[in-house]
Amino acid sequence: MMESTGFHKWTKNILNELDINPKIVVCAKKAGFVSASSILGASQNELEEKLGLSSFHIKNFTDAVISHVLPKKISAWDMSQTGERDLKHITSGCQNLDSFLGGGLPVRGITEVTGQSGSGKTQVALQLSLCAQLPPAAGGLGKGVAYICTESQFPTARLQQMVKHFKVKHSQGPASYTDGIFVHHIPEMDSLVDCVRYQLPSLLSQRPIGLVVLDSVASPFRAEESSMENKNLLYILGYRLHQLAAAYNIAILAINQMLGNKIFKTQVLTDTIPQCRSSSSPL
Amino acid sequence: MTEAAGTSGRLLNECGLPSSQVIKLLSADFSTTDDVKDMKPSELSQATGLSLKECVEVLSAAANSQHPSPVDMLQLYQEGSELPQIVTFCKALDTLLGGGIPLQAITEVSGVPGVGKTQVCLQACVSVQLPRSVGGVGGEAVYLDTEGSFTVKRLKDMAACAVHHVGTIGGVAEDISCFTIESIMKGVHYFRCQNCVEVLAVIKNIPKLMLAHPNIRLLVVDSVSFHFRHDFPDARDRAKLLRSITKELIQPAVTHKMAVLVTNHMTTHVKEKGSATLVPALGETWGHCPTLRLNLSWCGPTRVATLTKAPHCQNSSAYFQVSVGGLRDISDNTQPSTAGILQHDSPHHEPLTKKRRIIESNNR
Repeated sequence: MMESTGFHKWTKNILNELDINPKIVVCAKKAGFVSASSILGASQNELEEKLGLSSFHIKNFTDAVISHVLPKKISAWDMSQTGERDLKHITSGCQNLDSFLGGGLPVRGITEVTGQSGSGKTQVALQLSLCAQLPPAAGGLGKGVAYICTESQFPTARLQQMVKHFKVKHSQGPASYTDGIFVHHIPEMDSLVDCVRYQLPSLLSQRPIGLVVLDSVASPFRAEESSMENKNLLYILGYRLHQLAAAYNIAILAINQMLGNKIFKTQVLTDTIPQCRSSSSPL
Repeated sequence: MTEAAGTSGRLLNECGLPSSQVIKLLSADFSTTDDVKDMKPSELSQATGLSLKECVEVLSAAANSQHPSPVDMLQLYQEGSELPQIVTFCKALDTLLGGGIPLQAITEVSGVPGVGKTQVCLQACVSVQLPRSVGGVGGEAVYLDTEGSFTVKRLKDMAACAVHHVGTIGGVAEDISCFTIESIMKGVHYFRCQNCVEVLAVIKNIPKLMLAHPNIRLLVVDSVSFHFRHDFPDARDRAKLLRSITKELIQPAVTHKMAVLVTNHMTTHVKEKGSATLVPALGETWGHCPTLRLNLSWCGPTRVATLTKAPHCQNSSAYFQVSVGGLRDISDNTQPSTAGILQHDSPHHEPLTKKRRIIESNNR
């Protein structure tokens, strides 16, 4: 739901949700200050002038809005004690890789996998798509996967091959692994951003999804000219994915490519894509 | 009413009263708070034509208004030099900063992803709590997290090392025995902010938070730029919110004498001829706000902190490393041939890394 990601929370009318003097509500409505973003974005003087109320009333007004919007405070000690903030991981199926990653793919933020072509990035993504469906006791999340393919077709044959072996190795998994993987094929940047904006939240609210794979992030961006609009689209993509990860508590795997030749394009790409890089794992 | 020498009270139109009331007061010859302060509401109402209720409001506003008195420079200097600073546990970095992260100022830490901005913030959250008897600030911290990069385990590791370090110094002051991992973790107040408005709300709420926790001395915003990177419905809204946040950050620093530590992303600035440099994000609107700007970058395998804006010393750099216990000096065997502190001619000169050399050679 978009509401849960906070986008509409601060642009919608909140006046009726506040516990304040009705006179203030009337003045605020008349002056057009109805959303949290407009009220908190204005200075004390501006509000006094536009609403025609004394500083005492304006202070009450802003205090009420602040209390309404303020996120919950928690001390670092309480965070360490409750353990609800403890990082969950999706096992990669390889013990070496798991211990290297501190348990597996972190269920927090965005994790980027890069490599030259043929190095095995899609294989890692496919493996994780199967592992995510394992029950938590076996190192998975017991949930489905949203797999966004931006390059060639999704490798169904390879997946079937892996499922056969996976079922032999893990007895506790779901009856049908392919039922739990929702594949979207989106080759263009614009459609990709739209998918992350609208279709993905809708899917996440309807089905239990634990992992989103983006294979690959670089491909649609690379296909088009590197321009300001595309760079902004990349920011938006990263930002929205972060919000989804936080709102639905999912892991996000983004596959990136290596660009060898054009150094300038690399510069633009490497400092926008790494905004997505998950900073969850310690040194 | 005779005016006492030097004190004539505040002007009524600066007391926060609605303009309609001020106009009536001014036309009845009441211009300062001294003019009204000894009057009864009924007398004021008769003289100005305001209602009794409005007169009561006027009188209470006049009574509450305070005239800020000027402070002389010597007092400021003495107060400033007595203020402790937040050490970083890395001598080179502390020397660079003139002692540590300063109170009553806004310090920006910018850098590419993964270079250690959040580590600096976590270290500061621990260091601000160092007891006064060992030269620390002895205060608590507020951590405003916009990206979700706060890791409790890292904070715990750093706290453990700090407690161990203070234990080795020794001493019998009571505040040292109170300096434990638990007390340090309890002294970090964490807010997760999902958008700019929540960021604004937390900053504006600081005065109220100080009532319950009067010992807060550090506000960390990690990072200020994250929420500005998405699609705002209106570009003016974005600029306005950025200006509001910039303005609001000054309050905790000045009024509450806190250290404000803000992290910022880097963005690409494309110059003519297609060459590009990395500069801190958010542009000039934000750029004027911090008192101190520290840029973290890589010089080969080593982390470098460079001052790009500092009122107290010329721009220079320092090497540091991130260890389990937090920020530390680089050890002797890994020290490069040009020792600890590097001097630079211009504020925008960055250490030459391999990446920059490649870009420059391509553009020739």
